Amino acid sequence: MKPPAIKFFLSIFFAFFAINFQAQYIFNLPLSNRQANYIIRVNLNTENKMLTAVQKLTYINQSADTLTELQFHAYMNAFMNNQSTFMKESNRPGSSGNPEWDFGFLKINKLSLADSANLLPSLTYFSPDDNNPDDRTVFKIKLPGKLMPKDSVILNFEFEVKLPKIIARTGYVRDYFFIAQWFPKIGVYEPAGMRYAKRGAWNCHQFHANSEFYSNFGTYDVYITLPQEYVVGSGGKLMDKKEDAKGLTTWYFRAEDIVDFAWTASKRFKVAEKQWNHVKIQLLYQPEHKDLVQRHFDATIAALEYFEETLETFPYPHLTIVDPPFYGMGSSGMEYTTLFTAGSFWNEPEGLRFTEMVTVHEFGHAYFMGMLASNEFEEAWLDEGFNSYFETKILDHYYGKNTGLIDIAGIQIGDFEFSRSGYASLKNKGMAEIYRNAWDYPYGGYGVYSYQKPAVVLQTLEGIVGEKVMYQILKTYFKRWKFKHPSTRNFIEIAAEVIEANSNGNPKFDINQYFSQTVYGSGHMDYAVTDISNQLKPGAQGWFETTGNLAVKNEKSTDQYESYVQIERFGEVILPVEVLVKFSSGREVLETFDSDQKRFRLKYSGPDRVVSATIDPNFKIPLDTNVINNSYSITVKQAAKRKIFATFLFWLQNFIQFFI
Amino acid sequence: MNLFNAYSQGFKETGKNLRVLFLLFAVNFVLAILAIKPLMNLITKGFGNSLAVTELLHGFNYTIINDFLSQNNHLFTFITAILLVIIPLYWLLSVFFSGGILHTLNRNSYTLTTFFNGAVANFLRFLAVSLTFIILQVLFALAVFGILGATIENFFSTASSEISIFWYVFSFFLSFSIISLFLQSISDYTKCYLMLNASNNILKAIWRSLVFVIKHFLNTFFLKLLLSLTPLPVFYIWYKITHDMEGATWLGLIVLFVLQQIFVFFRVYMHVWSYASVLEFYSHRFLLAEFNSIDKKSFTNWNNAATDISEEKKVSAAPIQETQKEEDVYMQKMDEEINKTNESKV
Repeated sequence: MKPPAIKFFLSIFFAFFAINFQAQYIFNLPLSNRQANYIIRVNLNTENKMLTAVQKLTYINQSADTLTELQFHAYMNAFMNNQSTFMKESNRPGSSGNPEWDFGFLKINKLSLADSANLLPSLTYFSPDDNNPDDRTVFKIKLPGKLMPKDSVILNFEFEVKLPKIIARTGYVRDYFFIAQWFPKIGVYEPAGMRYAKRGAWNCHQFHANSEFYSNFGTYDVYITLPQEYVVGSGGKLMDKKEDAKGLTTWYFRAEDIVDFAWTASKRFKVAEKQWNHVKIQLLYQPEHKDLVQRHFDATIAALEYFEETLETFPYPHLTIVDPPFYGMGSSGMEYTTLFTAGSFWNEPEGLRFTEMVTVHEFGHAYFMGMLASNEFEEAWLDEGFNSYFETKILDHYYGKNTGLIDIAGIQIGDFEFSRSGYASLKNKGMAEIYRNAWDYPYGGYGVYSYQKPAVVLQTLEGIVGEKVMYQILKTYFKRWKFKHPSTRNFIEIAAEVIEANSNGNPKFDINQYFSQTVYGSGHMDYAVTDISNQLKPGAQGWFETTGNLAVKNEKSTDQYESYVQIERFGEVILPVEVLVKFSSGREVLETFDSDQKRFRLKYSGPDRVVSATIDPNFKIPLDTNVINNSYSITVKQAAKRKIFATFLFWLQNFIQFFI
Repeated sequence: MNLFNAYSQGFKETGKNLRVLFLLFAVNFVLAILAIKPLMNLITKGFGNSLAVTELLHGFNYTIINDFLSQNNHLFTFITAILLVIIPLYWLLSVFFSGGILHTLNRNSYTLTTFFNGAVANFLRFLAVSLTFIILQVLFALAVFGILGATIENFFSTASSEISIFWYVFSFFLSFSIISLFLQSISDYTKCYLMLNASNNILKAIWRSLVFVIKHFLNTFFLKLLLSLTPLPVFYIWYKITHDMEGATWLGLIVLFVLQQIFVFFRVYMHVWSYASVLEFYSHRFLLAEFNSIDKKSFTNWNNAATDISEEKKVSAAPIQETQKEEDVYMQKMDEEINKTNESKV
């Protein structure tokens, strides 16, 4: 073994020692495997919008494989020029005329092992997803030796970042800085058996226009130095703050068991704090949003309560909410486990709950992505979809089922209703499946198939199995996979297991088929009642043989009806659905229709006629994209049509009167 | 007479004009019905035999509305087409009716014959005025919002918060509203001038009205503003009354419908009230002030007209004056007439 290799292994030994015996600042016991641990000292030059930093990364090889190379993300290089994969995919015009200030980059000036062995010559940028030679968002380095299973390596970086004008939730605008995806970040090594890996390999994707991230758990000790007049917030707990004679302040934050570290700085921030149980919530808000402070806290606490009740206690003792200025709205609605950006507007009416919606949603990512660190590149629905499902549950629970999002001037819209409408009103509902690489969704599909449709799919699952079983599934999924990297398959397996456990050996429906249709398949669901018919049973007419002779009969109709309800399936998705049939006598029958036929008739016979039939009367299956054809009545209530008529008439009368 | 007198007097005068009010309301109603009928056929067909429509009886239901519109997206095209036909048609009718409204108010003769005579007599000149002011409004809108569009990006990059942006944008809307009200005022007085003088000289009428409006700016502008703002509190009250009415029963539906139509009737009333107030103000100022800067050649016509007003109560001819003495005599006569008219109104 060559001398550098010996040094290499010595450094691994000391690093391992250091990691295992370092003080626990936040948690008594680690919550995660702490695979990638960073110590970063960074200076922010607020004038030229530059970061200069040194970073010490201690990476532990948790796999049983021996590693000879490491792969890293350099996300900030997505904004280096207009030839990067991110910029090409997002069809952005690029610069507004000032490329020097609009674009940004990450430049690694030094990279060495703890023993000073220079690794920079071995650094190679490459593009695993699209071979774009101009994309520099992923790089790899060759280790001089081997990184054995359970061993660790310490890497020292010196790098600088030129911040772009805020784009994709990172950068600067004037004196507001939101610093995210800013440091060289090691990718995730997936050994055989982890998620879908058949053999060990790095999972380190480029930064795409439609994708988020995938990261290891670890600790972050970050020292941020910048001018004193700036207020700083981060995903870490503030451990220390020191001012020097040059007018600079160094803020020291530490975070444990999180997957990423972001921070923000601005001169305009006002700080509000609230203690909720063990969590100290800090809100960095704009002075003009003072009236919205309580709304941020209320929404966050509502989410905290809901998640604690349905999944598990929020373990972190600190949480930072950032309320960006209007000129920094490009950074709003972004999540990091213990920090998120919301988004609000001066004088936002209480009946418009966009602030609450963003707050609840972004907080929810602490669970879906933060603690369940799924691969957002490849299975975006596991964080955005699950989180959207919870967002709608929380908003509609706390602010009203049909008023969770909007309740103003007679217009009432629930958050789930709104979410569902994004999918239900798509012209081409089958343009993609939910399960797909985030960057492979067709144009305009990312939001629908990673947020909205998954929320509907999960809500439908809840409708089928019941809320209690659904929460049992989610709780089991969370408990089993927290601080790990779950996959879609893991969730489906747990869902099947819990449903089976609750079905007394007689499962109501095939959960695998459900997900193969709704997550892996692109079909849509649309059942309809297309006809109701009632006919009096005819009396006997014609020639009948009685006692060996043929005799003619011409009886009148009986007083018994023969009725049928015609159900049709216009979509590809097949699910068991309930049908409520009402009869003229007031009698009601609730049937479960479970057939793969495209047209089916429910038949009834008796003294009363069928007057109406409604598929899914309790709206348990919101996946059905057309609720209008879900019911059929032989006597449509005219009052409803008259009311619509009167309302339309009234507004048209007013409208035309306006123009004179 | 100040703006408040004109405002209240206009209200009273409008109340006397019931036949015209009901005619205008009926035209609004029938036209809207004609337009809404095919739309309703589409809606009825769209809902078919679905029970979903009954959910709307209980109020706004986003899921049903969304699914309905998703399945019937041609509805928007249809509504747009209807509006494109009905708005110009109703606008033309309103130009036609405005001549009749002013004529009946001027003559204090609230018959449909007077109304239609006035409507026919004034249609072309009022159409010219209305078109001129639409063009002016469009030009001013282009100018104001053009400036806004050209400067907003720069303002965005320097504004410290959305508050200043709000006020910046608001100031442009406010400016345009003020300009628009100002133009509408001129338009109203131009119509009054043209009708009172039986003139076809649009440009001169606009010029005279412009001078008039500027000269009496506080009264003319704030009268227009007051008339424009009057519907807001009424709408608020109407909204509060009807907000929680579901209209789920036949009786509820009838009550709701009646309340809706009462509000539309009020809008029609406002329309006439607006003309009445303007005419009240103008006829007084016109008589008192016009003589100071009058076209002296037409006093004879004035004199003739003055004779007419003993029957018609108000003046409706262009003044000609030859000597100051004759003018004084006429003024005296006019003042007597005006006093007489006011007494009869009281």
